[in-house]
Amino acid sequence: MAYSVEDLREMLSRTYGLPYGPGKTAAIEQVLRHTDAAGDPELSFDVRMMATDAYALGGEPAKSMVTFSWCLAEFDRDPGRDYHEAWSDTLLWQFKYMVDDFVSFPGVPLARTYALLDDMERRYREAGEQTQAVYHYRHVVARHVGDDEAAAHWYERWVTAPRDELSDCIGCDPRGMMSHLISTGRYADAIELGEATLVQPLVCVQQPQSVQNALMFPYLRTGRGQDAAEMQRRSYRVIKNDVSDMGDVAEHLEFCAVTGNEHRGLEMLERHLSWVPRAPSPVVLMDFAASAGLLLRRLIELGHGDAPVRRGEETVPARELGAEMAGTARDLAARFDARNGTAARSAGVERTLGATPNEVTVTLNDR
Amino acid sequence: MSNTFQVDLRGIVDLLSHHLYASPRVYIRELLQNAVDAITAVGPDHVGRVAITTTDGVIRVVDNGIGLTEAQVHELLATIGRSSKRDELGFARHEFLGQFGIGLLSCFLVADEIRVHTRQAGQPAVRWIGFSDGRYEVRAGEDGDDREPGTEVTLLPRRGSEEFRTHETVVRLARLYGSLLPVDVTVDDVLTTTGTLPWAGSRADMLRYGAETLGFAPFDVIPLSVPEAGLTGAAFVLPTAASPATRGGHRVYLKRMLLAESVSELLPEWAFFVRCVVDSTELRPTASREALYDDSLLAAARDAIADQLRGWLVRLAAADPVRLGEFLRVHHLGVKALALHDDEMLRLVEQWLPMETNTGLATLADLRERHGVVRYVDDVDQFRQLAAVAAAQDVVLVNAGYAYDRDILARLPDVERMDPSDLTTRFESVDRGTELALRPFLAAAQRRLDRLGCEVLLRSYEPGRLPALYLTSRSAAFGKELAATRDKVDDLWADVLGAVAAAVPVDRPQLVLNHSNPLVRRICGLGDPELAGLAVDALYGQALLLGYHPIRPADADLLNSSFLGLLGHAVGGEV
Repeated sequence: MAYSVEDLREMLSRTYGLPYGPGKTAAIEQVLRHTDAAGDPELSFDVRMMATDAYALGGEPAKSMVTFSWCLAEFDRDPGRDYHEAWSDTLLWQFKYMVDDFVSFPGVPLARTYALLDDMERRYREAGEQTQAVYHYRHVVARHVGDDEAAAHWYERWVTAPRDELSDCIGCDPRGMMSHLISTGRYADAIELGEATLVQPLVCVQQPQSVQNALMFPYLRTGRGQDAAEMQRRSYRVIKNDVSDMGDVAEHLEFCAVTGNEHRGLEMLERHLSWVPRAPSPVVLMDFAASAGLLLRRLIELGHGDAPVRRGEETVPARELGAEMAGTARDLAARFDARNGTAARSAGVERTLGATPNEVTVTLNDR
Repeated sequence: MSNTFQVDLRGIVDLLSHHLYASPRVYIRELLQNAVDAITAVGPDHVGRVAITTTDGVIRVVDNGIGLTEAQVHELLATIGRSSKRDELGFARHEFLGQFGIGLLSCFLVADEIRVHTRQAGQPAVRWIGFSDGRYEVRAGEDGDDREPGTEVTLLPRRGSEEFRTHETVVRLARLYGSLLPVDVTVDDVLTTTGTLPWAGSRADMLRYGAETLGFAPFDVIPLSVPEAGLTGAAFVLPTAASPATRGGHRVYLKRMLLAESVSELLPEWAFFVRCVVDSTELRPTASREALYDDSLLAAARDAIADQLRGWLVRLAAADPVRLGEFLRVHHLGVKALALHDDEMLRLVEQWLPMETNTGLATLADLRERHGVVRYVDDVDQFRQLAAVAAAQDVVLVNAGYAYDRDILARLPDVERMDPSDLTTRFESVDRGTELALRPFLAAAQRRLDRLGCEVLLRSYEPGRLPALYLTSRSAAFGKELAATRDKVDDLWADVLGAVAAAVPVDRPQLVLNHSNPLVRRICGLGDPELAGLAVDALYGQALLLGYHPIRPADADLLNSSFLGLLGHAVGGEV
C-alpha cells in the first residue's frame, strides 16, 4: 500500500508537537521511508529538513549528517525551487550542528571541518547575514583541537560580533562562552555570565538546564559549594532522562566524584550505563567514559573496588568497569588526537581521570 | 518646591513599558497592589476598602490604608533610582516603599501626570504631583488639608491610552487581577471582589468555578496544598485530550493578586492534563510580576504538586477503575509521558492501559501473565507487516509505534523489542540437504536482488499461503537512506558520509522465501534461469506491496519488467 502525499503530510504534522527524542525520530522516519515513493519533491525535502533537527536534537547526530547533506545537495543543484525559500535560514542554522558533528566523529578528517566552516561562512555572507555564529563555531573547533591561540582569537571575534537570528539563542550562546571561560580558569567571569543569562526569558529546549549545568564547576571552584549543589539538582532533574544530554550527565558524574558524593555518582552511573552503546557521538562517549573512570577510581580509593555495579542484567566489579571506562576514554582520545595532530584530547582525558577531590565536600540536595 | 528625579524618569518609564511589562494594563494591578499593601500595613483587624472611579477618563483610586508621611514620599522614588538592573527592580519590591514607587511608576504607562494625596494618622497630609518628563513636586501640611488617613491616586490621561481607562476595561481588569483580594474593591460602585477563594467552597462550587474561569467542564478537581510555599489551590482535570507539547498555563495568585494566567513552571511537564489555579503567600514573582522566579521553593512546590496529582491517579486506580478507564481514554498520552519518569505511573500504565497487539487490545500486565515475555515493535508499519505472520507463529506483538509507547516498554522488565529480522529466528530452517541442493537457485536470486540492496533467505513458516516476506529494520532503512544520499552529494560530503557509514552499523533488508509455500517450491525447482529470475523479482515486488513498504522507482521498474516478462512467458512465443 502506498501512502498519499496528503497522508504523509498529515503524519508529518502530527510529529510537530512531540518532544525531541526516539518517539519523534521514529515518527519522522516513518514518513521519511515513504516519502520518495510518494513523488512529491517538496515533501521529500521538508521531511529531511525536519529529520535533521530530530536527529541532531534527539541524540543521533551521525544520522543528521545524512539528511542534511541530502538537502544541501538539492538546494545547490536546483536553487530555484520555491519551497527552498522557507527553509533557507534553517539550512544555514543546521550548519552549526554539522560543525559539531564533524568534530565529534574522529572518522571525519579535520580538513573537512575547515572546508565546512569556510562554506558556512561563504553562505552566511552571501545571505547577507552576520558571521557571529561562524566565529562561535570556529572557536569550538579550535578548542576541540587544543589550539589555545586560535581559540582565544575566535572567542574575541565571537563576543565582539553583533548577534543576529543565526546566533545561538540567548541561553545557548552565553552557555558556549562559559565553556571557554571555564577552560581558561575565568570562573568569576563564567559565573557572572551564567547568572546574567539565567534571569533572561529562556525558551530553548536546552535551557536553562544547560547553563545551570555549566555553573556547577565555577561555583565549586570559587568556594560556593551550596550554589553548586543547587545547580546540580536543578539541571540533573531535567537532563537525566535524555540520552542527548549524555555529555552534560558526564559532568554530574565528575562533580559527584570530586565532592565526596561518590555513592550518588555510582547511583547515577548505574542509571546511565545503558546509554553507553547508544552514545550520541564518540566525543560524548569519551567524556562520559573519562568521568565514569574517575568516579570508579575514587570508589577504589575509598576501598570499594569490589563493589558490584549493575549493568543491565549482570553486575561488574567497580574495579573492572573502571579499567574498561578509562580504556574507552583513552582509546577515543587517541583517535581524536591522531586526526587532529595534537595531544589535547588525551591530555583532557588524563586530567579528568586523575582529578583530585575538592578540598571541601558538598552536600547534595536530595531531590 | 520643585525637584528633579535622580534618575531619568523617561528612561525608567521606557524600561518598564517596553521591557518589563507585557502590556500597559498592569497599571490596575499595580494600583490595587499598592492599596492592598497599605491596608495590610494598618493591621489585621482593619476593614479595608478600595474605590476606583473612571470619570472622564481620569482614574482615581482611594484606599483607607496606612498612608505616607512627607519623608516617605521623598524617599519613594529615590529607592528606585538606586536600582538600574531589571532584577534589582524585582528586589526593590521587597521594601514597602520600593514596591509602592515602582507600582506608581507603572501608571505612567497610561498617564502623563500622577497626583497622590495621602495622610498617615497623626501626621500632616501630603500632596505629590509627578510628571512623565521627570519633574515632581511635594507639598505638605497645607492649611485645611485634613483628609482621612489613606491615599488617593489620580491619573491624568496620557494620549493614546484611552482604551485602558474606560469603565468597562477597568472593571474587567480589576476583576481579572483582584477578584480574590481580601478587601472590597469597587469600580464606579460596581463590586469587583468575591471575598473568598474558589477552592474554599464545596466540590460543586469548584467545578462551577473551573467551568466559568477556565472555560471547560472539568473531568475532576484535585485540591492542592503546599504549606511550605503557603500554597493552596485546585487542579482541574481537562475533559479532552491536550497535546503534551503545550505545557499548559496555570493561573497563579500571589497573596490573592493574580500574577499570571499562564504560568507553566508550576507543574512538571508531564502534567499537561490539568490546569491549576493556586494562591501562594511565599513564592516570589520576577521583576515584571508576570512570572514566578525559579528558585528552590518553586522546585519544592512543583514536586509537592506532582506528588498530589500522582496520588490522585493512584487512588483512582484503586477506588474506581471504571472512571480511571475513562480518564485514560482521554489522557493516555499524559499518563504515558508521566510513566517515562515515574515508576508508580509506569505500574499504572502496565496494569490499566490497553495496548494494541496483533491479537487485539490487552494490557501489558495481562500479556505478561499469559506469555511471560512481552514483545513489541516500535514502528506502526512494521507492526502491520508482521502482525499476521507473527500471530501465525504464536508470537504476540505489541504495537509500540505511537508516541511514548516504545520508551515506556523499554523501561519495563521482561520485554523484548522485536526487529522484523528477529522474526526469522522463529522460522524453521529448511533441512540441510534441501537447502544445499537449492544453493544454485538461491545464489542466482541473491545476484538478482543485490542491485536492490536486499538479502535473500530461505525458511519454512506459517502461514503457508504466504510465499515471501520482506523484512526491514530501522538500521536497514537508514542504510538505504545513506546509500541514496551518497549518490547525490559532492566530494566533501561523500567523504563525511563514508565516515558515518563506518560509525553507524547498517543492515540490509531481507526477502525471506517460504519453503512451506507450494509456489515457492515450484519456483525453486525451475530449470529456466530466466523464468526463475523473473519469478524472484515478482516475489520481491509482491512482498513489498503486501508489507506496506514504499515502492522506490527502482522497485517500480522491477515490478513492471517482471510482470511483462511473466506475461510474455505465459502467452508463449518470442518475448
